[in-house]
Amino acid sequence: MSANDILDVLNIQRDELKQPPKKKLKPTADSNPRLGMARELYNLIGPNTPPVNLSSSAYNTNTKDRFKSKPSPWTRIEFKPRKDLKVNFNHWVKGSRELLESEEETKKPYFFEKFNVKLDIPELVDEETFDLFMKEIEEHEKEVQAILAQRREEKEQARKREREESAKLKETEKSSDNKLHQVKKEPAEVPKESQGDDKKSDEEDSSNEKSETKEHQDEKKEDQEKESEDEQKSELGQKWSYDETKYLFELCSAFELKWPIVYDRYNWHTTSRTLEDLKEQFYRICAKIFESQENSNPALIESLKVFSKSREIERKNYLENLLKRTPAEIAEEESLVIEARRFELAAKKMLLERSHLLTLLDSPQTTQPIQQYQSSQGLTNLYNNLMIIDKHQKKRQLQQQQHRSIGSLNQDPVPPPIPIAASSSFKKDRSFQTHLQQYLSGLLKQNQIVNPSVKQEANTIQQLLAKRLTQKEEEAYGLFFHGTEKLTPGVILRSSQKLPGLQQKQSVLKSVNSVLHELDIPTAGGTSWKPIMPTRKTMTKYDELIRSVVALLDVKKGKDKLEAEIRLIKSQRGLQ
Amino acid sequence: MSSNTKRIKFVSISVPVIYGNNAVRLSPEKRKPNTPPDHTHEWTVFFKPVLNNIDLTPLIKKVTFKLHETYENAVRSVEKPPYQVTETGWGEFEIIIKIHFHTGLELGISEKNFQIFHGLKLHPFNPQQPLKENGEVNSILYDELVFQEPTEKVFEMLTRKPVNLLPYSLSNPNNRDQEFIRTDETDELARLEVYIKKIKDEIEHQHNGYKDLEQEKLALLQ
Repeated sequence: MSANDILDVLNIQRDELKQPPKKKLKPTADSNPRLGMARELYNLIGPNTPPVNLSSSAYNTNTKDRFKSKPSPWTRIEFKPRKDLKVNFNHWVKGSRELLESEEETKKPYFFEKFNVKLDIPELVDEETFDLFMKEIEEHEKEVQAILAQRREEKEQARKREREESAKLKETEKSSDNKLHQVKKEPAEVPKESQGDDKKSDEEDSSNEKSETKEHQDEKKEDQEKESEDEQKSELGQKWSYDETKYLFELCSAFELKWPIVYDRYNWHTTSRTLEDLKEQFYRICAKIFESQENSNPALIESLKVFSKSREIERKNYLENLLKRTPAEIAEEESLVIEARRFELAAKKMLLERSHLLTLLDSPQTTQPIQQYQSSQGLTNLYNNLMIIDKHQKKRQLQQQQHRSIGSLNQDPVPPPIPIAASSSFKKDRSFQTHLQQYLSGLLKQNQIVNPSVKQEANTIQQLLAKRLTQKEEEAYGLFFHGTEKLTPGVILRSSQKLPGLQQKQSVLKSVNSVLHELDIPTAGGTSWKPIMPTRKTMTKYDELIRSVVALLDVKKGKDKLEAEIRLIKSQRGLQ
Repeated sequence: MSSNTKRIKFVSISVPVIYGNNAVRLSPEKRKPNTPPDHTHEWTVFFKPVLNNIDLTPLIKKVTFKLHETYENAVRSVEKPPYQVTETGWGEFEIIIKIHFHTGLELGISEKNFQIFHGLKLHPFNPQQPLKENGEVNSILYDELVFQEPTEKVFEMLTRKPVNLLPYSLSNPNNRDQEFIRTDETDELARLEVYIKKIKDEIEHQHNGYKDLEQEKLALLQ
């Protein structure tokens, strides 16, 4: 289906004159098959020529350009990665042979030479100094051992004193327990670890380890002591000779302090050493060497000295244990953590509640500064203020009582005001909002929403609301809320108020008057009789009166009609 | 300013006022040289709020009393309280008391001027009222100015003080017909109640009669 077909269907005649040449064009277009577009879709384009050139010739232009440019020269050239090497190497380098073989180029060091870095490992000293170092180390260790032993003794004594009363059985138990511990703590074969075991990280680890273990030191002191004992034994059995140390240093420099490899390749006669042994020996000898040198880095020596074999072993044990945990153990640990957190939260909550309770129990604290009441003058001021408030209240009570007495004298049908004695109900009355107040406060809110800048008026209503008038007091203000009753805005006289009862025909009103006359109700003669004192109340009563009279008239009318009917029937009957 | 002229719907404020006149026979010594010889009475027509402590001047610009056309300067305008006019005369006529409110949007008062008609009384008109010794005649009426849907400004003015707080006792027992107290209202209410009762009774009576007649009619039709 082509565009022309669609135009036909829609009955649109378009470019009638131009169609013949188009038809001629089509076969040529078909001969050249279009790419990237279905033929049917292409037909739908219709007589409009597509803005984009659809032919794929654009791809060819690039390759043509590429052929035009000259390729840059590459040369196969000899090179020496290191000056001392005697083997010949060749590689391809970009650039012409003439350029590369020029003087400047050949003098340049090998490009990748800079990546061939070496670790700065100190040379091992001669045998004599080494012996000296080892002696020093031994002495130092002995000192440490002595201190440790002393401490242990002290502890033991303290413990003994504590357990003097306890049975001997227990003592034996303890010792056997200790033995068990010893067995457990025998340094296990440390598996090769893939972690970055180069010098630096190890140092960090050890320092971290130190801080970590500090907390547990007290508990673990005993174990550590025992370990050091073991070490001593092993140390005695496997003393480091000069040759062995030299071998160690050689390995270290060969493998760039990659400890797992060093450990792996370590093979010295009969002695079997752990990774930690190797590290310990290397670090302590290095520290000694640096110390003997003049321009050494003290921080480096410090960090070297920090290494402790026992701690390192302990750390690895910990890690191993962590690694060997069963899933059940992991789950248990997690649940324990959660539990602990829960406990923490509960404790926090409890503390908070307790503090609340305490504040409640506490005497109320003033939010305002009491500074001003601390002087005698301030106190008198406060007293006076309180007196004034008291007086006001008394006055109010008195007034209300007076009103009540007058009301009772004149048989005031208005219910007497709520006795003040019932103070709770009095308060309730105050908090109660009359219809007017409810309406006004609503209005106020609305106004604030519509126009928050209305302040003047808001103040008035607010002030009035703040007075919290009772219904009676509202009356005293002459205020009245008409509910949904429609009012004509403006001033009127109460006496000429449009009462619904008076919305009658003049004739009806006339008869109302005559009815009132009949019933001996004084109407002062005229038809426009009104209450003498037209207040809101009297006018509503008056309205009620008028309406009842109108109702009476209606009944009368109905009765009269009925009477007439009866008379008619009677007269008809009489005729019959 | 527009906020001041906004009217508060469904609310009315009533201000009790009294108006009317006092009249005494003109004694010979009171006569002035310019008093026409045929004038027999001296009277004072007035308009004022019931409560003396209510000041309506922020609201009321002036009060004009329109006297009979035969008077010189028939429209007397009083700008300040007391709003009253004292004149001499011989005849009774209707005085139009017109209250002019302040105008101007900026004041927030947009009430129309307002008229009260008062029939001047020179002679005793109420047969129930005992004549006074000095022959004074008081025709004083109570009414209320009702501000229906007051503008907010007016609302503000009128709620500064309780304006409708009628006294419970007369300031002077002799002023029985010149003052209006709260108990008068209750008396009137009680009276009206009695009237309504009467009417209700009558309605009941008539209704019963109507029912009887209906019965009679039914009996007749059968």
